[in-house]
Amino acid sequence: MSPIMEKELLEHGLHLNRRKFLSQLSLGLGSIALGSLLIPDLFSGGDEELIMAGLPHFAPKAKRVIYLFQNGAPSQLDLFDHKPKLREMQGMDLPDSIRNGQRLTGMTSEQKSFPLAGSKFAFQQYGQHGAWLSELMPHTSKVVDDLCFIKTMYTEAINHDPALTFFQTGAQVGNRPSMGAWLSYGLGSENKNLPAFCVLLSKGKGNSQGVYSKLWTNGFLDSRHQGVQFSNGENPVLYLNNPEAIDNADRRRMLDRVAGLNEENFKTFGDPEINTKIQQYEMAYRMQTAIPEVTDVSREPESIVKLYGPECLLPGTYAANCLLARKLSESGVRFVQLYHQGWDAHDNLPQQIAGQCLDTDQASAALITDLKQRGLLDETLVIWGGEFGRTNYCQGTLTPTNYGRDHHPRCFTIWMAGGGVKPGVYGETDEFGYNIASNPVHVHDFQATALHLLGLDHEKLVYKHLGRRYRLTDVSGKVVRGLIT
Amino acid sequence: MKQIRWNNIFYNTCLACNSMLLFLALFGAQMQVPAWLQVTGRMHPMLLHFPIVLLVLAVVWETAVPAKDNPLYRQTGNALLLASALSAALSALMGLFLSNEGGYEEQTLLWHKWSGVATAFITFAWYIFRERVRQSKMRGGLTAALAVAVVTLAGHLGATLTHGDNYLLQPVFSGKTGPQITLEDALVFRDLVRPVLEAKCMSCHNARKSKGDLVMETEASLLKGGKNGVLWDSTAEQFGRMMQRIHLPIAEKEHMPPQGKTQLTEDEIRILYFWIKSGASFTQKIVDLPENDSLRILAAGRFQPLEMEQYSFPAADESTIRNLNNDYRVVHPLALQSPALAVDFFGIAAFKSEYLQELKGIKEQVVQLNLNKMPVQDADLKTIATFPNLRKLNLSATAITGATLGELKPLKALRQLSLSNTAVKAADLEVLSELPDLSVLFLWNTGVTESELTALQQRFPHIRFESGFSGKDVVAKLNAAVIEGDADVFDISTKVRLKNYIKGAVVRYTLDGSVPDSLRSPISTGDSITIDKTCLLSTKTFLPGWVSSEVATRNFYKAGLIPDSIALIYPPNPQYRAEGPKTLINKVIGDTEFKTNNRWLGYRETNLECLLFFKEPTTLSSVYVSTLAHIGSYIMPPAEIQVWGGTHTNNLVLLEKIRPEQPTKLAKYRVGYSCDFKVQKMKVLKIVLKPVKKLPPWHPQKGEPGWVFMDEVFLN
Repeated sequence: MSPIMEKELLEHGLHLNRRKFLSQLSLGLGSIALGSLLIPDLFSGGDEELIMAGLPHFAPKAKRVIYLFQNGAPSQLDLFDHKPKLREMQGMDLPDSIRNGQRLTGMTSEQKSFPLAGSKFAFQQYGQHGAWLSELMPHTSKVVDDLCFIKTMYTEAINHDPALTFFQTGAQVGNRPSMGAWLSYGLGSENKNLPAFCVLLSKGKGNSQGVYSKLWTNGFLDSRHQGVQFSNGENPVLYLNNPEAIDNADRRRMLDRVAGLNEENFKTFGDPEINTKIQQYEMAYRMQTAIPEVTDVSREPESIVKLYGPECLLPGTYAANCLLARKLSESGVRFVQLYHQGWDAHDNLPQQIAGQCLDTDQASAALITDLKQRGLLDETLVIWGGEFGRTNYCQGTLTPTNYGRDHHPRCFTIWMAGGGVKPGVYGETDEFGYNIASNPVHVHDFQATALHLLGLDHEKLVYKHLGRRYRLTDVSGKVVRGLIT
Repeated sequence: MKQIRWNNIFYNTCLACNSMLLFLALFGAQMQVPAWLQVTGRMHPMLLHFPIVLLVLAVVWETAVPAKDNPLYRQTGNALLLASALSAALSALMGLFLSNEGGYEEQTLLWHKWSGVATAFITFAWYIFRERVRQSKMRGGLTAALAVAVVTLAGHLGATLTHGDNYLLQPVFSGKTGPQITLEDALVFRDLVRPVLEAKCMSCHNARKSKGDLVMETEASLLKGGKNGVLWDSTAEQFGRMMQRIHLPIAEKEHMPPQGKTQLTEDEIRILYFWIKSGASFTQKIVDLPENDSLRILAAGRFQPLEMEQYSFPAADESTIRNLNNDYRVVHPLALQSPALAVDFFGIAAFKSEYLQELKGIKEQVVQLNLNKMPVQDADLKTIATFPNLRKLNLSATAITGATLGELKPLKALRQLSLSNTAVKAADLEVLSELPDLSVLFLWNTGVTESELTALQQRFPHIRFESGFSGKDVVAKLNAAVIEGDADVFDISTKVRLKNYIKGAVVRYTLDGSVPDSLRSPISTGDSITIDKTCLLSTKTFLPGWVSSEVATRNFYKAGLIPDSIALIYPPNPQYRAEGPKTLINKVIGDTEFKTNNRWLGYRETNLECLLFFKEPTTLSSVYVSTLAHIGSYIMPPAEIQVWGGTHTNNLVLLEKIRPEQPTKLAKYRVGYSCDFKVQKMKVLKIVLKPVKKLPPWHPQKGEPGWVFMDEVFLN
């Protein structure tokens, strides 16, 4: 027997549940005591069991998430965080007392001066809570009363990949499960005919940073929790149709035979991934009818096309992905993850960010309106934001009309809407827009809050792997009550 | 004998200790303990473990081990008893010294003292009368039982003194407290501050063991403070003694809780700090604090949310729920331990009315029903009306006409109803007056007009009507058509399709580079267009009521003559060498994503110079070079293009030279240049592209050398 096989058989042997464990030990006080030492929740029912039920820990506000990730880090200072002081002090050096030793990226650490750069764009207050928005977001300004702006997000990473990975998986290094995978694991899928976690990608004209499949990985969770990336073409899911001369009955027979073989295999090896494979084949079979139903945009009324903008009919655009996200979400997909690339404006920021907003502003706002008019906004949590913010000083040469901004992890703005989120403006930054003045929200706090809205206690949503329990929020994170209705 | 002498010494010491013990136990209250004795007193917690262990050992030896006549057995038993008696007497003495330091709860201390003293006496008496005790099994058993009982009592009481009440059983009974307090009822002191004091302070500052004369158990004793005075002062700079000592470095003697005890967490310190800062009220409710109050934010995470709705109906049978679940109908509790159920339907093609009727077994428990997009018919509403506890009903995009909406009137608990995207009309909404709890109604894209909506809103002011976005007044701009073709470069002809995604829109196009107009330019029928010459295809989309699209363009190239071989005089930059010289004649066009698609030859330090060879003399009259401009990445149009020709590399003649126009702002685009010359036969052709030496003054990297990129050459 090959060593690999032996290892698998050994793992199978170890794959015992606690009932077997107890029944195989002689039943005495000693074995129970030993059992309770080895299985800490032996007598309390065990949170593993609670999670296996695939149910929220308490009544959820939100059932699903649509996460509009703005990859590359949009400039909060040109969109949300209005700082007139920066315009007053345009070109003057960032005071050391404000920077306070903050580390810089390799891109500006060699810069001799850090001239403050006020936003070139006009700001105005909107809605009941007086949220500030720049002129770049005319459509978002119409839905502000449904949005909660968190102006005091902060993160630990200063470069794209670790920051993005941190937001998605709760750790800066890879291989931990992504937020969508955690939700799929914690809540199960709503619609058994679709993946619980779908990923849609689009790209703007601005300077872009990569997104990779490790961001929607299941990590150490069962692979059925992995994000399913949709294609950018006219068929979002490829190879769904039966090949010529194969009809549904043939397909069914084939799947049954394959399942039989896989079951034989499972009996020998006991690898749970074999069962996952059987289930995934079955789901793909049902997806053959479910996907065309969900992704068909041809029957959307004209008002929807106008709401999202006609681009929403062009596959692969951000607008099309927003519309598809609504359709997937209303069909019971737990977590729809969008990534829109192109926000990394180290230079030419005014021009780049204007282009990015043109691509995203209307469709983001449309998604809110659309969910709301169908009665779905109160059960869907929508999140808009990047992996960190951008500096208040200029990267490169500052001219009256042009500037660039470097990465800034100490404060940035994201917004959330729907699903039990309290609309308004949360937290304040200092007058330089560099540090947080009140109510900071760490990435783990944000994750804990999002899970809370979905009815999950972030400290109880755990998975035991390699001898320790893992959480999305690692070992920190607090639910931010101020964000919740 | 030496051994007997030792025994005597121990025996006499023991006798002395017990006498002293008796004296001190009776009259020790008046005693002043000198410092050196205090030290021995503090060794009580260490020494006390000896008598316990030795005594238990002695008890086991004396009762359980047989062979009583064996002298070794007796000697061992004697030694054990004497050692127990001596250590018990010493421990008790030290305990008496320690008790004089004060700070312990009197009642417990009294019992502990006397049970300790009793242990010493009983053990000593047992030693003295050991032979008589050994004579009968019953005497032995009784004595042993008495000794064990007394030492257990003394030990337990001692533990109570140091660790506090309930120390022993606390892990078993904790976590089984009554229902959790909700945020709404919580008080700042009772539910936030007191639990911190209880967990971290009261084990030393309680009525039994009031270290520093401080008892924290009641409001009155908290206000009173300890021997150093009151605990807090909301007006003082550091808010008084308690906060001051909490904030001291942990190594300081005054730091609280003392080093070695469980420390306060950051949050706990903040809770105490903000409580005192805000005036240390005992009656303040958490919900009365302002929303952004730090204390309220700290508190929020510690209580149950407000809105847990309680349901009066019983939970449905688990197996019933399991049986109702299938691939297209999902029945699930709202949360763990909730009796309320939500039901969702998925799969338009799979939906059947019976699926609704089958839910009658759980009709009481269903509070949410989602039928979004399902082909629900008017008749099905009768079934839906049998769910008396339904709170939330989603009927959007169903096939209902609204005619039977009146059926829903038994749904007295209904709060939220979505009828969006259905044929429902205003006249069908009479049922609203029968739904007292309804608070939101979604009517987007229905037959209800704006004026009807206003009237409804007036009639039912407690209902929020959501009519959504109609888009009537919005004039949107059309997308340009998407140009789909097999190849940019073709030999004889190629087919191109113009795809339009907006229903009813008309796509017009031109092939001469002019902008298509809405009247005369040819219309794309959706079938493909055949292109048989090098051209610029331009298209524009038109639809009444919409703004016409931007012009979309694409170049198509007829490949023309292909040289027999090609060579580069200088190698391209290693980053951009694509397929080498072949790149220029492989009929594949690059695009502006030059980094990823590997279709461009890039030069910076040297000119791009290539030689094209024909085996036979070939007639040529024009050369078209296709290049890239990506100004932000320093890729500029060539500074100069030269075309040379001849029959051999030795006799090349300059045929044409052009200096392309240079850009004035950042942009990225493909651009081609045609060099026409007098028709002539040749065997060798040389093309030279010179990169820009210095980027223009307006460029962010002004003065740096520019790049030149080329992907294809066309000869005619």
